[in-house]
Amino acid sequence: MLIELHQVERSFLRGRTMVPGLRATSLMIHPGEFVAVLGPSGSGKSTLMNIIGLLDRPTAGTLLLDGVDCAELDCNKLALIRNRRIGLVFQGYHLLARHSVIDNVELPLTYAGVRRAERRRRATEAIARVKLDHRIHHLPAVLSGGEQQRAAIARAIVSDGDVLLADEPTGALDSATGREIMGVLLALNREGRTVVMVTHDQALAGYASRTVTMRDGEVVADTAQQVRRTERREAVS
Amino acid sequence: MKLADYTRMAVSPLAASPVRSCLTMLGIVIGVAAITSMAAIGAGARSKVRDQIRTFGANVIMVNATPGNRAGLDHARRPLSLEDAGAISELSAVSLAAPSVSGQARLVHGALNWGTTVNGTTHDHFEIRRWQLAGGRFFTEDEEKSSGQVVVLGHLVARKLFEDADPVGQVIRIAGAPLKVVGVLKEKGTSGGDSQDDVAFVPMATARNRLIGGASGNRSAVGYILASAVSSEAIGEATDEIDSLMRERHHVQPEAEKGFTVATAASILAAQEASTRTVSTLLAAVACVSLMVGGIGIMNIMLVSVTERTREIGLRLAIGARPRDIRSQFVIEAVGLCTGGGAVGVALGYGVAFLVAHSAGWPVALDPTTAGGAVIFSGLVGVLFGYYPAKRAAALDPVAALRGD
Repeated sequence: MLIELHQVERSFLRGRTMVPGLRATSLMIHPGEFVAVLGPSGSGKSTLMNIIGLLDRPTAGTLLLDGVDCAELDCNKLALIRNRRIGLVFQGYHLLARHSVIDNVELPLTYAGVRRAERRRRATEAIARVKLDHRIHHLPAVLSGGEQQRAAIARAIVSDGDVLLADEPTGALDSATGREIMGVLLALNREGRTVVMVTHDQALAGYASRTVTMRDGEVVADTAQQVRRTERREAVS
Repeated sequence: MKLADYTRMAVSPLAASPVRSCLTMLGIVIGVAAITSMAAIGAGARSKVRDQIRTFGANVIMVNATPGNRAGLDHARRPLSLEDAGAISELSAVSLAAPSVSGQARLVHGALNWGTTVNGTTHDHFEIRRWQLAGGRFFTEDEEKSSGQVVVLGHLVARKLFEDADPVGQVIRIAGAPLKVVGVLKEKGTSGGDSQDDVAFVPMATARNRLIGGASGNRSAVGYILASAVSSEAIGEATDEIDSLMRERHHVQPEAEKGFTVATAASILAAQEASTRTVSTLLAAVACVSLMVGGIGIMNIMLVSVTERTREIGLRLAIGARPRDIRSQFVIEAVGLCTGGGAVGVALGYGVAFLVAHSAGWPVALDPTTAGGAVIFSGLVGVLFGYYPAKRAAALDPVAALRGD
């Protein structure tokens, strides 16, 4: 899925004043890319991810998914795209505490109207892909942080969508476990999935093929443009 | 998404907090239990009255003396008399009229004795009630006129005094007086819990002269008069004629209290149904109030639940739940609480009704329609009071909900 943002802005009402969260941001993400959105806290990277993940709508500008303007889609159509094509991974995992790993993982398929037996089969497959088979019937409370994040990744890929959005996926993990999770994300990217990862960690951004740096709600650097500029310079010389 | 999936999602949080779910249901449980138990006892009482009326006979008219009430004080009731009965039997729309007096007495045969109702009446009484004999005969007109010492026994009385022996031709004693058993009535069974076979009939004159005496010390007085209309179509006309005749004979002024009632099976049923309607309306009002209170309790807990589960709702929206999926989940949760409460309430209500009825000796009628209606109505209360919290949950902004705001 090709993601295009043209002059996207997002402002928030704080008291009586509008505070900009994202300023005139333009970005194009191609299918199969691994993009790290890097920036300090408050730089607007999570706001950008919420807009790309169709959880939030821009105040101004245009978001196109495969050329379709998302402003024209109602909340049900947006929910359908989130369900079928976008997988979301959060820093806090957001697993349902009363449900086992497999029940959590099959949840998107339930909303997609998939039959129970098929849901179980696909959820089991997704759990196997993140190597969590041994914890399939356990509740989140008995899993380690890394295992919980693996379960969350399994939930994000169970619908077989083409985009995976990860917001600080290793933020609550130690560095060794963080590396494991990055390994899982890299593997999923190599399978052809577009991965957009929000992080404040320069080292983690190194896993990505492209880094978009944000500050004060704006994109201040994009390695893809630098590459293109370098390529142009080399061509001219 | 299928109903089974919604139901599974709705049941899961309820099962996770059983104590809270039970306490939430409590308002509905108490409301439905109160209604169900009252309805069961009421239905039992109604069926008892209906049974009694059914055995009363469609053409039968009953004239009873009633105590009047003037300026808040009871005054002596004006007794009905043998002459009243005679005059009623002469009316054009009336085919038969039988005066009756009754009292309690102990019947003795050899070593066996049995306390029962002794009814002094005429042969016409049996014809009006269309009662049949298991053996022997009814008493004759001659026996009526001559205070014949004869008795017709109800089936139960015959069995108690004679066990398996044939009572016809045997002599029993009532209040010391010897009476010959001339007939035994066919078994009629119970009516609303009362045995219709626990009675003995003697000629009116015998009862007045030897056994019971007249009501109010007046030897011409009778307890009540049974009459039958010439046909079921003529029952209204017969009732009017009897009413007019009795007013005339008892010199009742148009505005004054009559001092007697003229009742038919239909009029008793109508009066019963009118009072039942009043009680039903009251019950419905109580039901509405209690279910409203229960429903408000459900709404309150559902609102708390939505607040507590904001992150869960955010997650569900993020992974592709539509607002209507969230709305359905919470409405089904409220409906589950209410129908569960309703079902428990129905069971509890019938349990209470059985206990009360058993200890008080009342009949209880279990009406599946009432039970089903109570559970369905509880479910509707769930829809009504669960909709607003569900709507609030569905309207949450996914980003804010994920943050837990």
